[in-house]
Amino acid sequence: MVKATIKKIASTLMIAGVAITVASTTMAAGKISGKTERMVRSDYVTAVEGKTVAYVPISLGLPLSDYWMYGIQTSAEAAGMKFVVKDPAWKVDAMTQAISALISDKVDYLVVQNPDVQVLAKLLKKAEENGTHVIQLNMASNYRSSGFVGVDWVSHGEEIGQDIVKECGTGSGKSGKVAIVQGELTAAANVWFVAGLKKALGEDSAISIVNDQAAQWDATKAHDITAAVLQQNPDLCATAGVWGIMMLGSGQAVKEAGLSDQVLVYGSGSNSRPVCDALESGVLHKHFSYDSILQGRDVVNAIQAIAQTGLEPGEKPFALYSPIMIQDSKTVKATDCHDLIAK
Amino acid sequence: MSSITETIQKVRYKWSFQRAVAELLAKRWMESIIPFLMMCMVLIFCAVAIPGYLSFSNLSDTFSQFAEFGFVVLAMTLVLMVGGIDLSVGAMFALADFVALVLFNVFEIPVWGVIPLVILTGALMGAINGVLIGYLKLGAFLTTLVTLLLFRATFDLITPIYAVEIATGYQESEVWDFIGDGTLFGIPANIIILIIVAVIAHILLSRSRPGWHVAAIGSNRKAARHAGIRIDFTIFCTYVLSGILSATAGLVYATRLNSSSSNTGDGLEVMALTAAVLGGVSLAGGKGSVGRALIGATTILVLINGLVRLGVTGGPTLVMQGMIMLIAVGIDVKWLKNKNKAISKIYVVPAFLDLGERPDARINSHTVFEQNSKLNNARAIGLGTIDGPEDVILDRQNRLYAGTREGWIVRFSGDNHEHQEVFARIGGRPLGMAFDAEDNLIICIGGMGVYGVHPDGEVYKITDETNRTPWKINDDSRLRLADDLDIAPDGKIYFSEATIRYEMHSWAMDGLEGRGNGRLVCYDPAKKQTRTILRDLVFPNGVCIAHDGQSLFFAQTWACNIMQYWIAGPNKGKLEVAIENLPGNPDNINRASDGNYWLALTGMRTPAFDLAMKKPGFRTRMVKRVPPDEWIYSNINNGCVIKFSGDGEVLETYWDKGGESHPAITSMREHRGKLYLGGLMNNRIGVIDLPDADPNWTGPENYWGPK
Amino acid sequence: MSRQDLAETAENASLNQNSYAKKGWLKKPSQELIVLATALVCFLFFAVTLTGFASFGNLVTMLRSIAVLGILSTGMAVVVIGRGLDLSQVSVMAISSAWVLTLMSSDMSLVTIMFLGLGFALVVGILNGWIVAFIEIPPLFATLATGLVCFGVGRWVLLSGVHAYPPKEAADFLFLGQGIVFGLPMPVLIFLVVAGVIHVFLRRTTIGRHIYGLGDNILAARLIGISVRPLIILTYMISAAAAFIAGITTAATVASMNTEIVNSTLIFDVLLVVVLGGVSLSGGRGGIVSVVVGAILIGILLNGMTILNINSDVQNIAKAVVLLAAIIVDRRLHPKDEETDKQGDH
Repeated sequence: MVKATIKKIASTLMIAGVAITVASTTMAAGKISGKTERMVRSDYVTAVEGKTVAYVPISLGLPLSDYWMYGIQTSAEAAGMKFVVKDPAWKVDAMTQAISALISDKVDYLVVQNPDVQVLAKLLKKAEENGTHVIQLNMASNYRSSGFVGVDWVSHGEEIGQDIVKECGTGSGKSGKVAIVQGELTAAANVWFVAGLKKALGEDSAISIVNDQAAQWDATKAHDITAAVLQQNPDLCATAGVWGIMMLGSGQAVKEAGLSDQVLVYGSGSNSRPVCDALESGVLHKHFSYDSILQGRDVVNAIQAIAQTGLEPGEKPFALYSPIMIQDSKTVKATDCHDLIAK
Repeated sequence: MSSITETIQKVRYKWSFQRAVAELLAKRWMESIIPFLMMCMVLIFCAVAIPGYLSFSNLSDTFSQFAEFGFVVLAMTLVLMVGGIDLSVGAMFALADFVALVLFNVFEIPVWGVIPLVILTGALMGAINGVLIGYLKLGAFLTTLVTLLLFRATFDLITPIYAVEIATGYQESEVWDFIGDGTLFGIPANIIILIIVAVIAHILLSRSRPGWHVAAIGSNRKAARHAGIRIDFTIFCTYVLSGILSATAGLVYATRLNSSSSNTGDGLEVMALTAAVLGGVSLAGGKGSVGRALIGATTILVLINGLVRLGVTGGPTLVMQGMIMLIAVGIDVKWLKNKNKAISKIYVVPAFLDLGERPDARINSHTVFEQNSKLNNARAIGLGTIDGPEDVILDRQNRLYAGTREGWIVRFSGDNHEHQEVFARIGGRPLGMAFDAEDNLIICIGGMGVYGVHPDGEVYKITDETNRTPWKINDDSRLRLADDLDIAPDGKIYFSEATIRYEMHSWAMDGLEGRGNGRLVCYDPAKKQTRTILRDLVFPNGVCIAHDGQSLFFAQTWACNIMQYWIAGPNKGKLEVAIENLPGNPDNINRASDGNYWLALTGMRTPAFDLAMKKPGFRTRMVKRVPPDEWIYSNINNGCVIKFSGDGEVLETYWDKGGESHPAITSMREHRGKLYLGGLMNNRIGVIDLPDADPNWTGPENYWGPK
Repeated sequence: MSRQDLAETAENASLNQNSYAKKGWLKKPSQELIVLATALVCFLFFAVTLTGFASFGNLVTMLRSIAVLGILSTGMAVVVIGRGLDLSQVSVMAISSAWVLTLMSSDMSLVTIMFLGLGFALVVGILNGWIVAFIEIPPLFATLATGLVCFGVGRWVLLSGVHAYPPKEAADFLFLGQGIVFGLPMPVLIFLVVAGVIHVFLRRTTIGRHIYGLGDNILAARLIGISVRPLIILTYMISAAAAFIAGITTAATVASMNTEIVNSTLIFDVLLVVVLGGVSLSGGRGGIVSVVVGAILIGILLNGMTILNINSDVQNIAKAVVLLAAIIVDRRLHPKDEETDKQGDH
């Protein structure tokens, strides 16, 4: 531990030293500075420009994947890269076919949102063996590729859990009853999110989970489940789920029961307009948001970095975790929300 | 005689494109030509739109993702053929995939244990469907819909339990990896497995009894039950097989992607259904094949793969899938409904036939054909108890044999042939007959071929096929309408096949065509070989070996002539017209005791009929627009027998004027000074005395000598 | 015979059939009664074992949770009574209502938008009916395909995403799903109105009686002078209209429409309710009352199981088993000759 810290300090000092040296040299001779700048620029151009970035989400047409596409496409094209997108429209087979085709087309960078941890793992490995860098976006697979950009799901779930404990747990004077609305039981994001959530909730004995059902990403199902749960537990304290859009259904059920003041509705996801509207009108209480357009830009930043280091695919895997912003009816501001991207 | 226009007409109607189209349409494989073309179009589309698509490596790569879908389409095809449907294939696929992964990754069972266990799982799931649909007789659609829900819910329920272990556990196995991504000569291993299974399935469906049972139940369940097929059990088995094939698909998928997720196999049933129907597997059941299933599967997969690769989004793909499904089912429904109507509208293709000037046969015309009443007083044998004796023959014991419409050979014995019995029951339509050297009765059976009957009444087959003509669209290897035969001294059987385009029940349509659709065929008992010797004959009918055994005479019914063909001696192979321009349609020819030949005329030419034969367009319109009983035919209200000499001279004519007792005589046989008369549509056999004939002459003795 | 006479004959024929069925009640209980009895037993069981189940609030919740299912089922019932099947219902429901939500951002009036949405649904209904009646494609495949086409067109042309949301100020619209009138939530009221209208239509109008004739024996119906093809188209239009109403109710309830609902098992639930209520898939039998009874049984089961916190997959298995039992009972009560069945006759 200490060793690592020393190493870290040493390397920082070294970098600082190099920087100072470079700076002083630059100051000494302006001519060389121009040359370096041109070199940096020409290295960048040869490494980045004209390269192809392919983006394969689970499906287009969702705020999340549309924001990502916007973020990736604008930044990639601004950097002089070519952008390709394939829309499998929820069909895993179409997704594997699209990725196989991209591998044989030898695209340079492949950005993928995994439907689960396994289905694409073999293909992504094959892609990297064929020289294509793979960036996994928000939902990772079992295969560790060049890069991961997205939410740290377990800690994300934990954060929400801790917030619920603060609101409903020991000392709050409330019932401590919590209902979890799951998405799809097998989806990776759902599994890890719920694991983190339950871990945090389990740390307070005053909290009891009264219902834990899957709504299959469907707001209507979430609505019906929550309505039934409220009948049984009118003193419910909070309900939480992995996806804000789905939790709109839960929120409506709470509102219909006239319990908006008492039952807290938690969601997570991108900061899209419908979610912000719901926060303003009190249908949702707290939303743990990440900015998907910025995530798209993170992806392209990562790609630019990989391109210039000249690393082989998968040689030095890294992760960029997205920052989370907590929105509620007070903090939600129009500036923090993205409008839906029209076609 | 013939003018220029007639020559043009002759040429114009000699070959017919329409005939080719009609015969093509009647082909069974024609039904898969449209799907096949569709597949080619899709492939060409992809080859043009996607650079490098047709390279071997790309095709191998693309098709390695297709194996599991191929299996599922095979499963769907099988149940569609038995008249059912299996919507649970996708769910069974997902469960099998899951089971395979749990067994392999979690319990670390070796591959050779995993494969049978997964297939057993599939069989069990299929058995649930099979019991419900086969034995409890529930509707296939709703039942498999429910089992789809059931299997899918079970899958969703147990998947989370093992999800993590499946994802983390892994067993090293070369066999597993080989099935998943291995290749053999560049061909993906899973495709090779698919091909092997497809070949087995093809043989099972098209060449085995269980396969025929499946098609029989799908086509007509009632008829299948009457035929004694175990319907419940067969249906049960097809669903079990469907489960097994779906499970195999799941297994192949498991080895390829090593993954089981909640939407594995979602919507697979709709895709498989679309593919099967697109390939030409009929929804009505009974019609389908492995080839069609694979054509459909390839079309759908190449199309969807192409659209994905071209970056077409979900919406248009869905629209296209739905439209293709509608078009495919629509064509299927309309085609089934109207195919036979369409074929019958264009199947009859009349040709130009110039019969020449009709000889005068009127009373007082003083020609050799002049009408008389020599047959009007013929005595009847078996009056009202025999139906349609086309040919008659007598044996050495003076017994009289005749074939009937029931497919029987009836024998009359006694001094006046008053005792009647059924000699043999063959089926088909017995036509021309002859005795061979061993006194076996050899018979042409319309619709079946050439058969023999031993003197003790035992029936045996001689031949029912000949060599196929390579350039004919209609498969002419089967004998459709063997008409008359005779046996040469060397034992070879020469027989005529009247037409290769029509069946026994519609032979009269061939007369409207007036085209050379018939042939002369020879069966060689020494080599047990049947060969066609003369083709394109205009309804060859009676066949008779000449007295010297060197040539044979045969009648061409619609051409109204007698041909002579040398089968031995210096002129062997020579063919010439012996008599032309007969006043009617010649039928059977037989030997006479005085060294001449008897010939029956079954119908008489009329001026209108002669003219019609020169007007193919007129006959085409007639067939299309007028009901069949209003069509023009030759006059069959006369009976006529002619005697002609070996050099083609007509010597004598016997008439049944007005057709009072023997209209439309098709056959006559001389025996001990009497002439026996048969008719295809008569209810009796006629007999007259021949006062000038040799009273001891018999056919068998004349052919084979005394015994 | 005038057309009126013919119509009366048809009516008498189906009335006779009805009285015949009534005689059958004495011999063996109708499926409707069995289902009603089962529903009562389940209700009593849950009422005793679960606290809060029998409360007025929970009953309203339960009714509300089956309202959309019930609306879809009444539409489906009309088609099934006419011996058809409409698998495109969920697709029509999702796309027409999502399109309405999308259009609400424009400056068109709500009434215009509603008519546009209804118009879209009716076009799909007419298309369904036309394909079934004139091209004679079995309804199963026809509606499966039109469902795909409708969904594809929606995703491709009409909508910009998988989800659609109303604009912020849409109180009039949201009232349809969230309002409360006479103490009853709007969805429940809409369900009751739709069920009532269709019930009266089927039982009290000549055309309604003709639909029974059509389902019972299409050849006989044609012979007595019913124009069967337009009638078939009408049944599919009713089904599509019901789908539109159900879609609007859903969208207004949760203030969004997830078009991915097309890939859910909702259509199977609809079939479950219809078959469960004794509307035989061989046509000509059953009525809206049976459908309401079937929907209530499903509502009780789902509500009870949700309160018991039973996993949704187990709920699905339970539903499948109940449906299977219903099909077997249907087969026993209305045996048909599978030898004369055609493919697509379920």
